[in-house]
Amino acid sequence: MHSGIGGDTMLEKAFLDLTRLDGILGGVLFSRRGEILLMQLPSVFSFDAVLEAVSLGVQALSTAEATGAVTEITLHYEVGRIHLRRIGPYGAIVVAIGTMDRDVVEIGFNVVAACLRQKSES
Amino acid sequence: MKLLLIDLSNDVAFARRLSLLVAKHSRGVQLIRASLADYIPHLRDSRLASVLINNDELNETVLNVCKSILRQVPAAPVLFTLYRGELSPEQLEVLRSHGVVMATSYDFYPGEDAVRAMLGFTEGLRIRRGLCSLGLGRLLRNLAEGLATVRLFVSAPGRQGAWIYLLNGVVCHAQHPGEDSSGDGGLALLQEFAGLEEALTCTLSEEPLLPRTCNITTGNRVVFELLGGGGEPPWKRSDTYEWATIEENPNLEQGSEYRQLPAQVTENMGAITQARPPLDPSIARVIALPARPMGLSMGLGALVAIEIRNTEGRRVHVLTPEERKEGEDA
Repeated sequence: MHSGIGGDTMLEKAFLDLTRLDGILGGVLFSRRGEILLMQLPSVFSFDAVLEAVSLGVQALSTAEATGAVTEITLHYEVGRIHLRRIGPYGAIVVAIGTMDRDVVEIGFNVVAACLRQKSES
Repeated sequence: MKLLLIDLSNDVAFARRLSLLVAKHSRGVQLIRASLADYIPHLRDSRLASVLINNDELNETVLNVCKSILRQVPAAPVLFTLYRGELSPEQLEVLRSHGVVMATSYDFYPGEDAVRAMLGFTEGLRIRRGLCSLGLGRLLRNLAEGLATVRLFVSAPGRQGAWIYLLNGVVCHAQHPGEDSSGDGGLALLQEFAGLEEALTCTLSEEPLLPRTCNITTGNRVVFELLGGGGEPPWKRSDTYEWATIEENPNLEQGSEYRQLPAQVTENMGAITQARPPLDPSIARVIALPARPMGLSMGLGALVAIEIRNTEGRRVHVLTPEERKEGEDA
């Protein structure tokens, strides 16, 4: 399931491409207030669970940011990882399996951030 | 191959039971029994794979025998069995620094699991001769990629050998056999081996007793660059950490959690970043509050570790068993 982010197809495409990589289960792009802007997750994840995860993600990011300039939080769980990252005015959550190469996620995030920068410059 | 039993307590029942179990579980290991008076000639046997010392206490005699084994056959893994007693972490460290790779206690007879473990060290002993320093680098890289927990004994003709320890693929400690391990010369020792032109011999013992401190705290990459001979790598030396610092739990000893927890983390992260101090536990605790239910709602299970990247680099906090339990209770 995924919804759209109005008027920014490059950013949308970059983020969706990131969520479709092997080893990545999906991801959510959200605003600072926790509104879901873009979502690509298998249907087994209920919308309520995603909403809850986003609100907790906003909370975790703001907690970490209170301690200094945080660029990324990686939460390691028993069977996977959640990458939380602030990209400009947005927040992003990416759910990956434990063996997924972290550098690939990093590159994906950087591409999304570059798209956003390009948009703001033009 | 031969397993030499040096029976200091002259425990006939132990030796009989051991020989039966060795015959039952081994693939052609020959058990040789010797006493304190006549074990030296057996050390010169070229088919000797490992040495087992049995005694009813850990005393100077045991350590002296270990020292003589280190002098004669430094590559041989030494095993120690103690009749009815418990070995403290400090005693285990003393034994380890005397070449012991496995120490266990028993009541009346040695258990089948203990004998199987002893045979693992005897039969699983792998020796590679004629390695150049680049070959040593490649060997370390292979071990690191395989997330191996091993003791590597590296020796060169006419030189004192060295033990290199890897925990779950992380090169973490190096020292000269029998020397004090509290120094921080691990990386310098590797550097010395990297510069050698002689052929090196490596002996591998898997799942050995591990040192209580580590003296190599930079990442694997640095060591490989060093051994790969690619000029001066840009690396930074940091303070020596206790093992417990890596896990952030000073109460953890070599129990099951000790092994499992870092294994879980290294599999997830590739390698523990050891070059920087860990994340402040108080910050990690606050982040863990929303992070725990987040993982549960996404079906990822319990939170194992938190990693933050900021301007200072990556900081990791591995949740202690208490913190994990806290989360389960919540």
